Amino acid sequence: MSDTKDIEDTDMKVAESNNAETETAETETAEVDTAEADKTNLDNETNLTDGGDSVEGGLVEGDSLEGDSLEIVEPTQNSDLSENIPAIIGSSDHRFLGRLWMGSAALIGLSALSAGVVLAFAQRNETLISPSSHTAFLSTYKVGMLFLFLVPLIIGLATYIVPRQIGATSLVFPRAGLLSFWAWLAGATLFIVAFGIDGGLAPGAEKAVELSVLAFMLIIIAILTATLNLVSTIIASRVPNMSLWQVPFFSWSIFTAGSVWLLSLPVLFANLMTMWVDLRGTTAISYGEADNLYNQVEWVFDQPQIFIFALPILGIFADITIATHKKRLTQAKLFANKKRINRYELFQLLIATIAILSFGAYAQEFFAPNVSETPVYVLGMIILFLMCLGFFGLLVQHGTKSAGGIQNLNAPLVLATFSMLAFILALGVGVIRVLGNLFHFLTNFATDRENYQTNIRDIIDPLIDLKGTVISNAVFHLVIVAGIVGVLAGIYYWAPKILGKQIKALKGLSLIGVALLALGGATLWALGDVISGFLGFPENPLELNNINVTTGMQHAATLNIIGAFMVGAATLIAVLEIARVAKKKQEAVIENPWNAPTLEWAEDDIPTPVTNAYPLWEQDK
Amino acid sequence: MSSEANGTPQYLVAPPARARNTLVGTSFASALVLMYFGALIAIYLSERADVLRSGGTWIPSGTSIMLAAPSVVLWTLLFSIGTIQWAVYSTARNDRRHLLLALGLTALFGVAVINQFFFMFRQMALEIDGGSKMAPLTYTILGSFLAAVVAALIFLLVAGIRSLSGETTKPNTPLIVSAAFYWDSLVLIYFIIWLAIFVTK
Repeated sequence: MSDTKDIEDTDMKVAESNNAETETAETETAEVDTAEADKTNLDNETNLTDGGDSVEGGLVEGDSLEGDSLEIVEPTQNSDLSENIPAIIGSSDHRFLGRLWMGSAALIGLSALSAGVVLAFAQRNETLISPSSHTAFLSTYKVGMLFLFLVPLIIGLATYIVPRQIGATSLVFPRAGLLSFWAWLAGATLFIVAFGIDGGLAPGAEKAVELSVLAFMLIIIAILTATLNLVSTIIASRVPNMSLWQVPFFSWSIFTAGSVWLLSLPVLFANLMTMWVDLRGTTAISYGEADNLYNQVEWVFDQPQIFIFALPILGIFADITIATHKKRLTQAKLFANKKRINRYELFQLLIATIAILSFGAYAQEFFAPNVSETPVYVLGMIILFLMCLGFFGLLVQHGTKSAGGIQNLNAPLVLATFSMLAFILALGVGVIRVLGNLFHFLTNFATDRENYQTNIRDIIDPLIDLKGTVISNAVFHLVIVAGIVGVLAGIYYWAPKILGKQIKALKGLSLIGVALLALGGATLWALGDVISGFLGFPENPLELNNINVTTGMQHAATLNIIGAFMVGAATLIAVLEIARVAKKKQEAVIENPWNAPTLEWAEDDIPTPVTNAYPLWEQDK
Repeated sequence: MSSEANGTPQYLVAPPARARNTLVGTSFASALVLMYFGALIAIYLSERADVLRSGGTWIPSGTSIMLAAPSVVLWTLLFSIGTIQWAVYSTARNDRRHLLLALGLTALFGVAVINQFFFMFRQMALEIDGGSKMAPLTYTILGSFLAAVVAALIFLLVAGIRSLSGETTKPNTPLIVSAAFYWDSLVLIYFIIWLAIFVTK
């Protein structure tokens, strides 16, 4: 008992000393702040000003939860950017780090998209670039879009929002958060440089290929560190009494997706390490052979693993839906079951199940060529699709049954709905890919099995032949666009926090137009790949020498080009729009414009203990 | 100025209690390391099965996989479980002298493991360029394990320094518990490596 008291006493002392540190920092910051800034949202203190020449106070925060403090470097107003470089590099403030992740990802992602456009052209004219360069472009495009664009965007949004949603003061390991960002940036830069000097995960200059593998490993380590930090924060830093079942949906989806990232990305790292060790030998034996490099990591960009990277959009969609319709997920009967269930927990369970089914580290066709024919893979994909459809349908139903129903629709909800539609479309294409094996599997139960299998062979064979074709790219494009539009919805929804200003309704309409452009582009791009897939266009460009490119394939590739350009244009416009909004002059911001129930919208005081998933609505009562 | 200026919300009732951050972080990190080695060993066993199924030889000629040295490593690591748990016991009793002694002994066992690994490499005489699929995989697994042991030694060093500076008092026990947790995970990983590479051959 006394031990517990000791611990509590020490905890209180630490908390007091941290509060004292914070107050000191606050006072110091106040000296450089203008009175006007005080009246407005102080989040903007970390923004670059219009001239882009200064970073205001509040950038650096001590590592309060760990009990140590970082050296506070106070950036001053109206000073050169160069004077604030130490503050920018050394800031472990989660909000600043979140913005850094998102800003850098947006810039690098645009260059990755350009590789995608080249890829679409190469698919139309296979003589445009050699198969080895085609493979290098393909691998760079996929690594770029996933690990240099979508995942960092999600990590950035989560780094900013998650600590606030659970009532924490910062990430549990602020220095690790800082380190992970700079390690990721260094890895991303090295990866792009290596690609520029004939590297990539393809036959190329030997040293450049080695550098590509090393850079990819650095990127994965950085992403793992950032994820570990986020997941640990959710476990260890929740506000008192907030159980995991009361965590807001976005944080929950980050927790579940992050847990699966933590379990699956080390497998990717193991693949890369094996390649690298083999490459370092005088002659590569198997794992480091140029033709094998992309094939060994291909599972990360394919179903079911690819879905886990966009899973947080489910959390964004759910949070926005509840805030928009202002209606709680109450207890209800499920399927005439007498026992009433908590629907909030049901949705959490759905997200967790979708996350578990998206674990794809086992589906490595390089080492297990027949894995896509196994019942776990086939049925897992179909259950995944149905669960996601159920999740979307039930939440839409929840919204339409609320007071006001569909009239409550606002821009973030429309954006989030678009992202969900793209995600479901991706899952649908994934289901098409496993249908052949499903039919084959089901015919095993038929009484007249052989006759049955012969009769439906015409249906099954084209579906089974989809294996190894470019149709897997269709799933990839759709998931990436779903993720990007989902993050866009999140940025719009949390704009008062992230950008320090609310995005106007007109801007919202333009962003919806951008999202429509992206969705349409992704659909065209995916459609081109689905058609090419049925026509037998191989996914691995190194196999291009073995096929004749038909006119049908070329027409399908034209759809790819149009789709790629539409997605590229939409992304560029979205980045420019958000940058423009962020640069606009400060305006008075409504602290909680959506009247949302979650803690990130708390103005000053966090109600504790938190007793349910809607703490701010409880507080209002 | 709003209290949110520095990202520090105010609580209406009480601030959140300090959580065992290090222990939570280490648990996830250990799971991550387990998955990494699990993947490597899965690749190793899958490739080995393929080679043997096709009638090939997995262990190249001139290479000897002896069980004695790897077993001594296993025993060394098993002993180290005792010493690291001694450290946990000492920190719970606030006994700094025994804590340092236990941490030092565990570190010594760790250094001994590294030493024995280099002996094993020489004894195996496995050439990475020998044309065998086994070589790169074995070096990846054993090399990664060495790196993991070095990381554990650094962790112990940090814990030791913190205890010397007086930080390892009861409320800070999680640091030592975390170090012990990670160390125990490594012993488990080595046990699997020992079975997969040295016993199965």
